[in-house]
Amino acid sequence: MASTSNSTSSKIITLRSSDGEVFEVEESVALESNLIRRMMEDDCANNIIPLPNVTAPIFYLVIEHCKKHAEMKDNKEKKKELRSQGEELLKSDPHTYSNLMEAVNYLDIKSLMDLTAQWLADFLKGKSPRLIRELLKIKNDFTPEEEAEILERNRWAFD
Amino acid sequence: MAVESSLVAGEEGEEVNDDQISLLPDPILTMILSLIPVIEAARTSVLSKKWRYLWTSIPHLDFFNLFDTFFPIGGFPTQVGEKCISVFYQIFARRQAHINSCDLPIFDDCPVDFYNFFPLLHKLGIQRLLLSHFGTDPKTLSSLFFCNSLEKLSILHFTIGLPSQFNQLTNLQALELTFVRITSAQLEMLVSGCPNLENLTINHCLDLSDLRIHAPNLLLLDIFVEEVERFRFSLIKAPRLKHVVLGYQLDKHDLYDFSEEEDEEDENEIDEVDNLIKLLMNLDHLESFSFRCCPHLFKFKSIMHLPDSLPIGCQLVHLKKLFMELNFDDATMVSPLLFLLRSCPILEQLSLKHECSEIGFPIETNYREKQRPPKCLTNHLMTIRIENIHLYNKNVIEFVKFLLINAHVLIRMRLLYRKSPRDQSEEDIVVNELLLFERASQNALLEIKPGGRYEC
Repeated sequence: MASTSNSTSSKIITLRSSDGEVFEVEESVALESNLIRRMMEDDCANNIIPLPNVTAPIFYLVIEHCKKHAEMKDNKEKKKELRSQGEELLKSDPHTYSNLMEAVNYLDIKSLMDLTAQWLADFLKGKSPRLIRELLKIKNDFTPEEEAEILERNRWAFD
Repeated sequence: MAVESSLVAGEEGEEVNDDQISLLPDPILTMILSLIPVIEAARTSVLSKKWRYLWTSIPHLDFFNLFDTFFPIGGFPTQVGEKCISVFYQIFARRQAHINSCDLPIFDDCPVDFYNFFPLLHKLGIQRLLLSHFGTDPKTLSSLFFCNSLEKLSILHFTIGLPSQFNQLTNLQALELTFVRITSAQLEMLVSGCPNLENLTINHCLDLSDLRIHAPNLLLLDIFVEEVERFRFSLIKAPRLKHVVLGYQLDKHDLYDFSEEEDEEDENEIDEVDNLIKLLMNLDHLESFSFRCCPHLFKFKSIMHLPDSLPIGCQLVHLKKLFMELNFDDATMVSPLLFLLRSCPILEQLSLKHECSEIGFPIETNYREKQRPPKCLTNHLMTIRIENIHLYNKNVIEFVKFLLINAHVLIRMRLLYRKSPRDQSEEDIVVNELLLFERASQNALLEIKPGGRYEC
């Protein structure tokens, strides 16, 4: 079982991932998620909060990044470091990236939403469409004629 | 806020799709595309059918970030402006999705047809617009003021000429004018036409000499004027106004001639003080007031005409927070501070920042004994913060002592001082002296901490 409790006496929230794993998370971390916050405010969260859209491995990642984000609040160096980690993840495992992004979106965690969005934006920046397709395994479903037409219509962008 | 998520179950199709990124919900992808230069976002149209039109619904269009690099401020090769404009048209003419916000740089050589362009933006439901002109010849904005969808409008370096049929911008909540040429009458008309305006910022606006504001819902007013002697506040009718930030900058050469032409200026000085008093008397519903003057509030010796306080009945009876930047060595700035303190009977928080400047009127000695203590010190002022001071500055220390012996309900006073390269024992002596100094409020916490750099 995963436990992220720590010596401080803050309240612990229990969450269950879609694949049945149970997590204990400090309230301050859990409340980063607006979804969880709303559930707690509506009082429908007295026991274990189920998260049907998030698997355990992804939930680990989310918590890890929530903590990192809290740590680096005033630290520019760490901020840079965290921002640069997206490139690696997107190159090696775009699948995990999109799962993480969906989970963050579902849990409605503003800080991580900004971070993960920035990851993909930074990743796209400066890369040719051909390279982006290759790295993200995007299938080119245009006919050569269609592709030529797009290039022609948006010539200002491709010149 | 979460974007509506449409989770896609991957198992339905027989063939495994490796491309998970394209399966992310459209609102997330367009949000991400608005974080990269528009030109790069447009290039994603060729990736696949899914991406074909995604970039055309980017909610935030930042044309400062159109190309791969930011525009340099200043000179541009002519082609940049021309290329920009052709791109604007290509993007806006085909756009169907609403535009949330748009940041738009306009160059001297951009042949923008504003007459057609702004109605197009209006049709696309634009809510936030930032227009910034680069060049020497500011254009006149007119048809912009029919964009009734606007909620926030920032204009830099343009001339404003309201159209004769100008009616209202009913949705506008924030208006920011910087280096804008607008007449007092036009500004009054514009603001009066924005019944829901909450934030108004006016920075360095040329031609503006007489401020008349009538805004029923205004909460924040932030004004920075350069030529204070030409500036008048005639009327501020804003019953909901809570925060005012007032900044002045005086022409530099004015600082050096205050011994000359005193007689001629005398009348203006009186006007100047009268103006300030009239303005403040209009603002008796204010809860917070920031006063920034760099480097001087008043010209010459207007200070001589400043009364003890605002008359009873016209005082700032709701003001709880006061922030002021001032030079503690200059009587023309300490005196307005005392004047304000005596005019705010329920002030709770006072925050002061010392700004040293070379010239100022010397403070009379022993003013600590001579001054009538402001009423707010007796039963309301609880927190005081004074920053950017030097501990060897006698005037600052005198003022701190003045506050300490008079503030009866003080909870905390925080002094942030700049460590001086001088002998540190001198600073320790002052710190000890203050810590042992008699306080009207026995339980007040006095914190004296270094903060800031060496140089002055």
